[in-house]
Parts: sequence; C-alpha cells; structure tokens
Amino acid sequence: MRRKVLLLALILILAISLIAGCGGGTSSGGKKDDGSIVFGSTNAVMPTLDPAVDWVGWYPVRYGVGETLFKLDESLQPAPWLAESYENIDPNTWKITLKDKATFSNGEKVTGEKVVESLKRVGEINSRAAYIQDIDFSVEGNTITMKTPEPNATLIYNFCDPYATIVDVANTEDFENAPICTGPFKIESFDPETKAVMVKNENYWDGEVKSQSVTYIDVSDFNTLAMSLETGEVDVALELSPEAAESLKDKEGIVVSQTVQPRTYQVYFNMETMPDKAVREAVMTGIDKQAICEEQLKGAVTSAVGAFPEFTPYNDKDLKARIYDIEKAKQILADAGYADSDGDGIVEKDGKPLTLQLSIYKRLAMESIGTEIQAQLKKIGINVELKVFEKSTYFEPGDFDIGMYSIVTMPIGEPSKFLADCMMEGETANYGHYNNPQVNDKLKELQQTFDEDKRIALVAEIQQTAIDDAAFDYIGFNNMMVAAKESVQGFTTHANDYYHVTKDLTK
Amino acid sequence: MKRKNAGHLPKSFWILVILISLLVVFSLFSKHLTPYDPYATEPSNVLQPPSAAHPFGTDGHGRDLLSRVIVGSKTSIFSAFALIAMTSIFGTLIGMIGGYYGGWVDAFLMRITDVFLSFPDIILAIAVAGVLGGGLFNAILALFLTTWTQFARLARSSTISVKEEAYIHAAKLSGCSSPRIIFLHILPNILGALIVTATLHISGMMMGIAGLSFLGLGVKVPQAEWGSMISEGRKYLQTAPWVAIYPSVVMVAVMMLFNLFGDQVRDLLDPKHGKNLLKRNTL
Repeated sequence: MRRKVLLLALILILAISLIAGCGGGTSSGGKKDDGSIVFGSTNAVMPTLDPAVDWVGWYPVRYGVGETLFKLDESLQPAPWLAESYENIDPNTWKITLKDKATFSNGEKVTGEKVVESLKRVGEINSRAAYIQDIDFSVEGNTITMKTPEPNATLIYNFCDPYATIVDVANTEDFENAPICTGPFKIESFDPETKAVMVKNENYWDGEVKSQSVTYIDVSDFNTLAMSLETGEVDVALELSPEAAESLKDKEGIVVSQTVQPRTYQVYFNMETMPDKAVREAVMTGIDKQAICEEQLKGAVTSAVGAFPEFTPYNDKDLKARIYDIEKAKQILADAGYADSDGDGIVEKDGKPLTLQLSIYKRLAMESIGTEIQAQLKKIGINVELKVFEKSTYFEPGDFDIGMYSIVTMPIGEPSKFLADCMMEGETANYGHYNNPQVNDKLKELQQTFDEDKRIALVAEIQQTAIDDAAFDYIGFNNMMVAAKESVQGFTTHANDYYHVTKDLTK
Repeated sequence: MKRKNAGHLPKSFWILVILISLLVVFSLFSKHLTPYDPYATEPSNVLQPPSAAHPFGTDGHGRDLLSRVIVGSKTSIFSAFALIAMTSIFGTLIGMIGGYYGGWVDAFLMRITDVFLSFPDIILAIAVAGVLGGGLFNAILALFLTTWTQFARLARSSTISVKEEAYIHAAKLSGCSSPRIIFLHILPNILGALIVTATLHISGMMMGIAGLSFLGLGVKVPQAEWGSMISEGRKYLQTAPWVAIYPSVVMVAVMMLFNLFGDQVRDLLDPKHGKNLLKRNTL
C-alpha cells in the first residue's frame, strides 16, 4: 500500500513538473519579440516565392515585397502604382508611362526595358499570362507601347494581377527564394511553406518605411492561430475561420474585422458524370443557401446566385436563379423518372440509387457547407457521398460529380478572365467540361468589348445562360475575418486579399 | 474444470459484466434509441447549450449531440471488438506456428513481426491510413497491422514454454498431428494470457480508432464517431465547449469500464499475477 502511495506521489510530481515545463516554454515563446510584425495564417507561405508561377504572386504582394504597374482601389478599379498613367491609343495599342522615381530594392531604376523583360518572363512561365507572349512591346525611355494582336479590353486590369509583379530579372539570382522587386520590404529569409521574413527596403521609392521587419508564418489550424494571437506570438491573424473569429471577438486588445470578398464557393457540376440536367436542377433547387450562410455559418458567408459581389457593377441583381424549394426539387426528380421504390429515402432510377459524389477540400468553411449540403440533399432523396481532400486536387482528374471550389472571381477587378477560364470549352479551369457554343461566342465577344455597359450586359447574359443550363452554382461570398492587435496600424484588408503590408505598417 | 464454478467469482466482476452487457446491447440497438435523427442538420439550432430538449446540446450543424453520441457508440465499441478479434486470432496463429515449429519458420515469422514492431504504433497506423485513404475499414486495417504483433509475440513465448511439457510429448508420441497439438493441447493452455491481453486492449483499440478519426483518417463525415465528434468540437472549444466535452466524457467512461473489466479478467485468469482469485478460491 505504501509503495502505491509513493508511486502515485512520484507520478504526480512528474506530471506537475511536465506541465510546469510546458508553461515555461509557451510564456518565453510569447515574450520573444524582435520588433518584427508577425502575420499568421493557415495559408501564409507557399513552396516558392517566384511571383510568375501560378498564383504565387499573391504572396510577395501580400508581404509588401512585390508591386505591380497598377493597383486595384477599393471599388476594384485599376489605379497607377509603378506606372504613372496609361493611354488607350486604339483598341490594339496601349501606352504606359512609368513613374520616374520608381526603383528596385537593390537601387536600380525601374526602366521600360526592365518592365518588359519582367512581363515577358511571366508570359513564358504562367499559363494565365500566355497572352503576353503575343504582345509587341516597344520602349522609349519611360514609356512602353504595347500592341496586342487582338483587341484586349482588360489589359490594364491584367497588369494588376500579382503575377505581373515587376521583378529585376537581370539581377535576380534566385527567383524561388529571393526575387528582387520594388516594394517597401525585401526578402531576408524564406523557408518554403513555413516562414518568410522580410526586412525594410532602405531604397524604397515611395518614402520612408516605418517598420524594420515583417514575418509571415504558417500556422497549422485556426484554433492554434487564434491562440497564438492571444498569447502574442502573432500580431495579425489572417483568414480566420468563423469559429476562431468568434472566440476572439470579445478579447481585450484585439480587433476583429470583416471584409466581403469576391471569393465565392463555386459549385461545379461535372457534365460528364451528371449528364441528366434534371438532377443538376434538383440539386440547385434543393440547396438552401440562406440557411447555410445566415444560420449555420452565422453570416460568415453572404449567399449569392451569381459569381460577382454586390459592390461591383457585375452583381447578380438581375439574374433569374432557381430559388430553394424542397417540393419543387422533389418534383423535378420525380418528373425525370426518379422515385424511391424501396423506401430507404433515396430515389432510384432503373434500380440504381441516385448517389452523387460531392468533393470538397479543407479551405475556410467548405467542410461545414459540404456537410450541410449533404443533409439538405438527403431531404430530396439524393444520397451525397462527401469526399474531403487536402487540396483542390480532384478537379484535374475529374474526381467529382459536384465539386466545390473556393475561388476569387474578380482577382483583377474584372470578370471576363474568370468566366472564360471556367466556362469556355477547353479552358484551364473548366473542370466540369461545360460546353455551350453560345457562351463560348459571348465570352470571346466580351474579351473584345471596351464599352462598360455592354460588358455588364454580356456578363449577365453569360451567367444567365450558365444558370439556365444548370452548369454552375455559387453558394455565396466569403467574408474574410482578420483579427489583429489594436496597436497594429497601416495594415490594409482589401476585398481581393492581396494588399496587406504597406510602408506605413507599425505596431 | 473448477474454473467454471461461477459462484466463486467476485461481485465486482459480475457488476462489470452486467454493465458491459448492457452497454453492448444498448449500442447494438442505438439506431432506434436516439431522441433525434443524428444526421439531420438544423441550421436554426446551431450550437445550442445543453437543455431539456437537447441534454448534451447541439453541434455546429444543429445536430443533437446526445443522439450522435449514442449512435457513435456502435461504431466505436464494435469496431474495437472487431479489431481485437482480428488481431488476436491472426497474431495468436502466427505466434503459435512460430513457437511450435521453431527453426527457420520461427525465424522468418518473427523477423516479419520485428519489422512491424520496429515502427512506432500510431505513426505506422497514421501512415497506413493515410496511404489507404479515409474510412472506417481502412482505419481498422491500419490498426490491425500495428497491433497483431503483440499477440504474435505473446503467443510465441507462451507456446515455447508450454511445448516442452510432458503432455505435449505424450500427445506427440501417441501420434497426434501438429495442428491437433497446436489447437487442442497448446491453445487452451495459453488462452488465459491471451484473453487478458485482448480485454486489456479493447480500450486501447477504441482510443486508436478515435485517434485516427480525430485526425480525419477514420470514419467519413458526417458519420457519428466519438473521435471525429471531438475533432469537430475542437473548433468550438472556447465558445461551445460541450460539443467536444460530452463525447470525450462518454468515451472516457466507456474506456474505463473496459479497463476495469480487463483488470478483473486478469485477476481471474493470469496465473502469474499475485492475486489469482480463482486459484485462491479453489484451493
């Protein structure tokens, strides 16, 4: 008996010392402060830093390292950044004048030649920027004249895309880890998918940079992120989940802000595995977006019918969409020959139960939405198999009947590129294999239309056709939740989520 | 066999047997015992604290937690049973064959066992489940691969110690075939230790399955399982703690029950253990 008591006491002491040890560890971790302003996110650092690759450009621009010729303002319209001004001489010719004082972080001047060199490199590397290869550039001092083979109404918008970050191509030795750009900060160290440390660019062309250093770290999950903000390990927690944001709301010294983004939960219907339009229509009619967005996610997502948010001219106000109606959804299925013959609650046709695979990946509220859709569609007799992936890797091989994608629809303030990518036959993001000649023609027309009103009308027509074909649906727009310490100043949350760090950032 | 003399078994043993039987029967019919549909979401009723209508509260989708915990019991308990049955039968078979035949058969089987033993259990299970993809079956398979070795080792050493006994030699001399000796003469004599190990492992297996589900490698969403429910509840730990706490409490309680039962079984069956109740009772 005495031995048992002794043993228990020993274990207790060990456990206490262990806990105490842990406590010591976190507190010293929390107090560690080298003046660097730390940004944490579950999606903070990419495998590379080369802005020309895929969507990586977002990151150098977020970090305050990269800058583009034009920058989108609050209403997503391009405003000059490294460029001074532009002029549309004729539908095929554009003239861009650069800012005279703009320099790279190594002190080199941003010249027309360097800009062209940088853009051409992007055209070769990035499939989204392949159009650059066909542009005929000519440089005269500070002005660049560009001739496109076909009228390109959105050229200036395209130069706002972070892939068009201007890099000093001639002097950069390591594009993957340390591209030389023009922003208020430059890369000090880069640890792929883990951490990026930036230091002040002493040569910044647009005035004095207020802070010495900025750090972006990858945090494994939202709870850890919220807690690291509370303990002071990070100063700004980006892209929080609604639950994590909720837990931070009433904490002292922490400000939670919410920004509506053009980031939507786009629903792809796989035209090859779901050729029956009635099924797609039933799914669209059977999903209660209001309940998902307002009640289940408590407003973290704003429900929608179209792809573009209300604050843009391309919004969905005039679109005629299917409205949630459980009886109508059942009716659509019944009319198409689906009936529940064995009484298990799932409808069958030709003896085969109607089972659909809903593929989602771990991004923001997607798992919650997926679970909710699964339960909702069960009510109309559709058995949904929810397949959860780590990343959106199921689109390429077509491993979905219904696929959900978290995507920014107006990454450059302009809808035509997004629509063409998703809806035009054979395009890079047309994972559902949607093919409607009418839509294809209108998308081409949109690319060459300069008149704003006509563009808006075209976008509405294209979206309406796609909705009528039951090819795409949109659950709603993400409200980006960012929590920061009260003392952090000069940090911007932009609807497009790629302008974070400015020269005025302090804490 | 005096062991079957039930009247000498201690009361605490019977209490545990009754509790566990009740639990097993309850979980077997759990589908019909839930107050609500455990999979019906109710967006207007999200994260309700425990109340009379929902004694355990509701989760992030407005599903009744009590119903989910009840339905989850079947998954957790029966997959642990299935797992123990699979691992103990397979492991024992391998161990007995190795121990009985000796020589290169033994060496070969034991080297395979060593390979599996050389990986840390849960890491190997995570790796296997990760490669195979999610799903309860794959999780069970992953845990099976990491657990059978313990039974193999135990069965082998017990077999070796038993096989030199006089009655085995006698059986051999009277012309018994090897399978007959293994299953009729060796197995009954090493069964006690194996049963003790198996019962003591039940809670560990429940933990393993819940652990894999917690990591998203076990059951598929939205299936109710304690581990995945705790994982879901983790998101709300600060704002709605009941989502994680109730499945955890129930799980701990059930695991304790099985652990206590395992202790009792060991007291009854393990001849090496000091407090061998049966021996004491029958002396």
